[in-house]
Amino acid sequence: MRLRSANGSVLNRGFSYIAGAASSVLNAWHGFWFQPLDPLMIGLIRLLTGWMLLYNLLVWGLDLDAFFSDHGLQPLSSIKSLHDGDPIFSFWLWTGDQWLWPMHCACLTIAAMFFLGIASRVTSVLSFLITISYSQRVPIANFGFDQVLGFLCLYLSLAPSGACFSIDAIIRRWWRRRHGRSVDVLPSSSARMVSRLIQLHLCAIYLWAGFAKLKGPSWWTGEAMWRVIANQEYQTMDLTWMAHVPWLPYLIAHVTIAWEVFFIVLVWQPRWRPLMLLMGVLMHVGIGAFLGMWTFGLIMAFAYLAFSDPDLWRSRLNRLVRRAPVESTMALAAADSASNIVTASAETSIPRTSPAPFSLSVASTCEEAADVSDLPIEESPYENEFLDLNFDSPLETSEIAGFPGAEPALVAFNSPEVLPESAVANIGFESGESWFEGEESLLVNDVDDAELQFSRETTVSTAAVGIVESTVQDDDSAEMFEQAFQMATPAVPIAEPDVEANSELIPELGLPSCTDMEMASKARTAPETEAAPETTSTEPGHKAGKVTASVCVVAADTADRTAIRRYLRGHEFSCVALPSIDDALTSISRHRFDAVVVHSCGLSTREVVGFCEDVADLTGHPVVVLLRASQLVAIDHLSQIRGVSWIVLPASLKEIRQQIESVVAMSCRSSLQTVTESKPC
Amino acid sequence: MPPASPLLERGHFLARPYNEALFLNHGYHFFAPDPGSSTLISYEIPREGDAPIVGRFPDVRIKPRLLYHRYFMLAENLWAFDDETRKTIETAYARHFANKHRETKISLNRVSHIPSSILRMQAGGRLDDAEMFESEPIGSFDFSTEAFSKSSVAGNF
Repeated sequence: MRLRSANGSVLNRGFSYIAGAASSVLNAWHGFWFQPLDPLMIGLIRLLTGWMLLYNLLVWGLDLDAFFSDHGLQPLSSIKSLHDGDPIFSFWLWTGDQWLWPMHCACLTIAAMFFLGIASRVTSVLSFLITISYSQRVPIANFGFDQVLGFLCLYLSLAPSGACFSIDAIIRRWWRRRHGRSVDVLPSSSARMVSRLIQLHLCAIYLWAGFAKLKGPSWWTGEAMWRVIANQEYQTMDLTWMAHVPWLPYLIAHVTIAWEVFFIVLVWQPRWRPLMLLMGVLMHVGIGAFLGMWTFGLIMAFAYLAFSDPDLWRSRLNRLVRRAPVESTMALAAADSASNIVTASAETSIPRTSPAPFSLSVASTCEEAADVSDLPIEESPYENEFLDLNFDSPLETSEIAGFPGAEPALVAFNSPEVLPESAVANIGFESGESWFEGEESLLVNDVDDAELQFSRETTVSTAAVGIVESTVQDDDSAEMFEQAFQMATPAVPIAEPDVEANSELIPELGLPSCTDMEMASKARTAPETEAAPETTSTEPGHKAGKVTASVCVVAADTADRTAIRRYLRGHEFSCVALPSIDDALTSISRHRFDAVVVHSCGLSTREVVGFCEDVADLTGHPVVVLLRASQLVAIDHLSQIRGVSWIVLPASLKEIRQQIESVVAMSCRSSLQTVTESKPC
Repeated sequence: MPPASPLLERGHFLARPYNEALFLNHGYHFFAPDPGSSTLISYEIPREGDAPIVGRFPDVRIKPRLLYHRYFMLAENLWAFDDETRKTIETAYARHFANKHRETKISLNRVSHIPSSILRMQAGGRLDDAEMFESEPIGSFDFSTEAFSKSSVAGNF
């Protein structure tokens, strides 16, 4: 007997359900353990753990003979018999007394290198071996500090612990800058894995510690905490006054038990995590301050960094670094070069009339703009797991306070109210200038700036968010209108080439006008043609030849936008580059493009997916998403949207161009097929 | 940590090589099941025609605090081992302190410092009252037949 329903056999549906569930579990497992993670916190944990290890070894050195020599407090023969048959490792078990100090000094050197992050991949492994060797040689003198130090060194040896806060990182940045390569610290799957290991190990520690305490009646009666306080050998601060406030030690005992037992559950809840970690920090600081075990208390607190959001701290760190005056040092890698890597690290070399107030290391800009935490598309248990709980970073107008000419504009725009982005964007339209006229003033820089003569009186301010618009005045005009807008990235004044001075070059410059693009697009999608007609464009900004497709590029960062725009135009694409998805939707709804490219830098996962869905609903333009490695979770959603494809960064401009060409070709084929099918024979 | 089911004991046996090799074989029993008395080791070295030398560790005068804690653990953890191992280590302690003072005879005592109760503190007691210390002899050791160690006995002890 076969079971059937209107939708197919029940068995088939059951198998499909099981397969779907298994797939979800596997995807969740993979995401939990291996989704690439910024190794920032791992680097910081390495720094702090290395400091603890170095301190530990220095203290051992104060009485090395007493603890490690054969005639000391723990004779080698006794320890060997203690470990008889155990699969342990300790080089001290084979080290004679005459080698005591040379070995100890070598270990100190390696620990110092590990602390400083020198040859981290090697010194991290050696540091783990050193840690367990010391601990296994003197097991009687061990306590909780050695246990925590051991597992931290073990996990750090598996991670790129030298990627940040290390001499290795400094050397790597110097070497990459010298070779004109990206200095970005790439997210790493091993960083995620190690972070998870540390998190789970902490959960295991507290769970077993709590369960072990539950076996003791004094923790149930509340008397246990008083016993700890009254232990004079532990005491570094007299807390015996609590004898006169007995409910306090009882309360601390009960809270300690509850906190330890429930840590493993509550620390994974976004709303509870800050409280659980704060209580843990207070407890361990208390252990250090009142029981004299600072090393144990601190190293436990250091391990809590594994629960922190590295993206949040990266953005804060970048913001802190950017406060110092930094000159732009990176030239934009040649947009003509097919091997140019688009990550978020290119920086425009457009000369400025005044120094940019901020360094536009695009990675930092990307993170700065993405200070808005990624809102989860769905209630994924791993999206909101960090301390930063879904707040919108307010746009900081104070960042542009020192900007030339900003003060009057600030007054204008901050009074009466802070304007939302959409209102700012509308200003340009209300001024009577068309969007593309404003855009033209931006797009004029398709010729190397060194070839142009710039007028200091005519400047165009660009903003990464909102309207990119500024009225260009003639030199004779007394009024220079320079706007500074609220922005997620700071405005950069770009000198506009003087038309008269550059009259020889200007005719070669120029842009495809709206009409031209529309014609090209219409010709591209004309249903009567089997092959998309190739319009020849003599417009400047393109190589002489054919315009193969029109592309709308959306990138919040100026450098990325410029890089992609230059490259595509150099490869026979008609390209419009816009700074925000709102502007792109407006433009897309008015003009036909062959493809839309959106750079996810500065955009949350929700925004990227929402934009793709909006494009699919409004116009059906094929969309190519340049997806950050940390946003792989969006792939599940993007794969369900019609006409969307993606490239995971880092990716070369050539790969992006090839993807666009592929997408455009597919779109043409599907259009032709639709027309062919609908056209009567 | 007992009691444990045969299932858990079997699992521990299977995981033991991995745990011990990677130094992960810890139960994390901090102040568990009950915080007890702290344990110290006192020693007395008789001298002919002179007052005996007495000492105790851990000594709060030891700096830094981490080194003090190491000595504290030497006294605390000693009773976690089996009798045979403990006797070997006790002998090592005795020899170390005898060498330190260049003497051959020494006696060791185990000192338990019992924490005062809340009621006792409310009644005016102090943590270091003599009645809160209990001493138990470990043994007397005579190393006169052994050559002195030539190693340094510098340090906190």
